[in-house]
Amino acid sequence: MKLIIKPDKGFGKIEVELREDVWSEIEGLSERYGVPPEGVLKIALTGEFKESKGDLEKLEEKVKELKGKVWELEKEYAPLRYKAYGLSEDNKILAIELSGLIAENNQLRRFLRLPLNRNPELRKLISYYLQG
Amino acid sequence: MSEIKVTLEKEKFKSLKGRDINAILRENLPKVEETLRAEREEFLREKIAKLEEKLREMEGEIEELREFYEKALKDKELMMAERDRLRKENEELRKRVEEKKKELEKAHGA
Repeated sequence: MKLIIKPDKGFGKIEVELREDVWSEIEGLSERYGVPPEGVLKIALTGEFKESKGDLEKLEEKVKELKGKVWELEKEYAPLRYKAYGLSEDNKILAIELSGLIAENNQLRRFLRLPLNRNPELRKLISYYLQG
Repeated sequence: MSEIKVTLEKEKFKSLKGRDINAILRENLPKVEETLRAEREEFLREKIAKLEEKLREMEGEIEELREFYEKALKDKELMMAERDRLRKENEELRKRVEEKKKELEKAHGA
């Protein structure tokens, strides 16, 4: 494998034939860490290294565990949302029915000169579900 | 013949001129591996923070949804009870209205 190094500004280039063992190690790193060989070479040539804290496996494990938890919650969330939606629709229908019954009740009471039924809590509930 | 191209900062490029690139690479590759591990660790730490935040959000949403569901269930029971009560009451009142109408008709007729 031939390596060509160029500067970001200006002219010139360095051409070098990479030794087979060097190239195969670069390829190995590239595959293991999902970084293109150019990336591996760039780090090696610039010499800008970082120190590992040595907890890679622990971190991978933690990510796996958290993903599992998210999945569990997603499984719980979807059916609950579906049930809540269904219930809210039921309540909407009930609210429509109730407002009809209340109107009828008021009309009948007026005719009979009876005091009207004031039920502010129920009215609040009805308007809440009618808006939803 | 296959080749691979890398672009470096001008100063870095200059410092490599005339040097044994294969030897530099051979020497540096173990440090590259450690760097790649460190970068992966960094990426995973960020991912963990995001996942933890997502979990907190989801837990909050589920809690809210559960509260909504429980309240809606109670509301449903209450509204059903009111509906039944009003149905009965309206039926009674309708009867009374009918009676009153009849009385009025009688009074008019008489």
